[in-house]
Amino acid sequence: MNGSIKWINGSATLSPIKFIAKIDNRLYDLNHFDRDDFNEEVLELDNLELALNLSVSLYTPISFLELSNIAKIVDDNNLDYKKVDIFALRDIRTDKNFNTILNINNFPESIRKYLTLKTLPLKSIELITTFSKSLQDFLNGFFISNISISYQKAKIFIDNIAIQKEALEGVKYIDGFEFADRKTSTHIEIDNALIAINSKIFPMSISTDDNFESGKLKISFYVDKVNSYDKFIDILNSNDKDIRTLIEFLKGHDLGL
Amino acid sequence: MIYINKSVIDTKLVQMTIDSNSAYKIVDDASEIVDEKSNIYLEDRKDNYIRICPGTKIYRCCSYHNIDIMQGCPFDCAYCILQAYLEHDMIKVSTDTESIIQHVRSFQGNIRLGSGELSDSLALDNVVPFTKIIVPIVNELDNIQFEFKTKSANISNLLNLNPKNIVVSFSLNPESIVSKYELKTASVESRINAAAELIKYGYKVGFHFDPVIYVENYKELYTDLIGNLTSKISEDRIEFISISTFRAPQALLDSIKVRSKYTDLLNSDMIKSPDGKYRYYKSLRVDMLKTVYDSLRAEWKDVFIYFCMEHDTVWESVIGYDPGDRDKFELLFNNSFFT
Repeated sequence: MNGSIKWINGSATLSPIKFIAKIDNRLYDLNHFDRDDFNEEVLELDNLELALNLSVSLYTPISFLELSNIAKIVDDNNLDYKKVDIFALRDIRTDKNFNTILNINNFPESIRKYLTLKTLPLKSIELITTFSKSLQDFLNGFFISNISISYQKAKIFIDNIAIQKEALEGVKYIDGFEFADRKTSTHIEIDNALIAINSKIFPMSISTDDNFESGKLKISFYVDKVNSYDKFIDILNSNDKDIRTLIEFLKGHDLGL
Repeated sequence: MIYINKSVIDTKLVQMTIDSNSAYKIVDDASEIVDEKSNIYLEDRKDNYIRICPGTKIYRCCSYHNIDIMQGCPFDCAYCILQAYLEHDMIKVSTDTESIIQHVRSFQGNIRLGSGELSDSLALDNVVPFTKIIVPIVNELDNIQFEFKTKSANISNLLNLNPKNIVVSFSLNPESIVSKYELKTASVESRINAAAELIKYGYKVGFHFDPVIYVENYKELYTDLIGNLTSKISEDRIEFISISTFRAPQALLDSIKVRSKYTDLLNSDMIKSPDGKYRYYKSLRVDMLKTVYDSLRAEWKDVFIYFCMEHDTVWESVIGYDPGDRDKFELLFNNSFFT
């Protein structure tokens, strides 16, 4: 084999036939990536973009790290990424997005590893590319301890780094790290007041659907076989004073009630 | 650099631009231009230039109309919605002023219009002098109030135009916020001085405290700013003042995060509102609005002050009344200007 397009991360899943592309008298392994113990099928192709398309089509799913490997092959060989189908399929249609993907290969090890396990939104990956080396190391530390964390939680963590980057510059990640709460003391007080009243009136609950934007407080309960209507009336009556106090407290904080 | 589409070379605005002695280049289309803020493209765009401000039903909005003659801005404000809204960085200017004039003349009732939504109304007026075209037209009409909204002090073209229904408004923020987040704009002192100068030439002026930005010492900063403003401007020449806190749709938040330098703008207590935009938590927001409103009201008892895109409960908390839906809200402006 005198050309290489090994983009797959780790060992390739082996199929009975080893496909080889022949382009301008150079041979490229498309799926077994340099293992020699299978029957070979040589396909004559016009260009490397076609070879990549064929190779990628033999595997699914493809992680962001593998996508970055493909981007590197495209970049190293001066190919047109718009002719490599996987990029359009993953909605990578602009130079900016392509460069974001290409950049993944430069991320620290645990970030790259996480990207083989979970699919982060492209915007989160783009944010990581804007981080300094120190901030990427901080995120890497987080993934070392939390490699299985959901992508939603990872996205929030990355957003928080972006928002608090000035304070985090040069900081080393320590297990159990938590971001400073951005809520005002009043907001925290209001949240706590709701938690306190809800612990008293369970299974009823008092909440806000929209952070009080519409100036409404929701008091909710379900009447069913276990919880009769009378039960809720009793709860309301026995907590009437506390509920009124809560409403006055919320009014005092200009929430529009 | 100014680029002029070859098909619009004979238009009035292009001729006035050429007369301003700026260097320019004739092009076939925008593909010949590097897409960056320093480039101005006078184009052959023809579309609906005048639109009512989109607004929302959840928050109180007036019936302001925008003229989108210019799309893009030479300034570089960290919080600017244009970075998420426009798909280009270059400043595109429609040269079809005849259609705009025709549309302005066609309005039947009282209408308030402005050109400061998708650009700064005056930032480039020394190069592309739209003021010289529109002011004489508005002067002929009794039912149009035209607003130039700016963060510049670029008022020289306005000084010889004998205004009638023209308001020039200045966006204001404390200087420390201006220098950090409103890059390339005029200093707040220059803006206030420009407003004072325009008053001497017969203009009504307006001020927009929008967006009010949360910083730890916001009370002190905004109170000082208003103290400075009220000491230099006479209340009877002020047409209106708007106040609104920083708000942003998700796309703008994403853009601010990626632009990296300004992410501390987001390091505050923001929540997602029912219209999809992120705003400061309500109790914080009300406190910020009250700070600005009360400071203004302490000095200026009668000037019309309104909130842009705020909930009726916030109006009630701060001012003590609800302006009502669009038509009713708009009457508050009409009462102040057209009577």
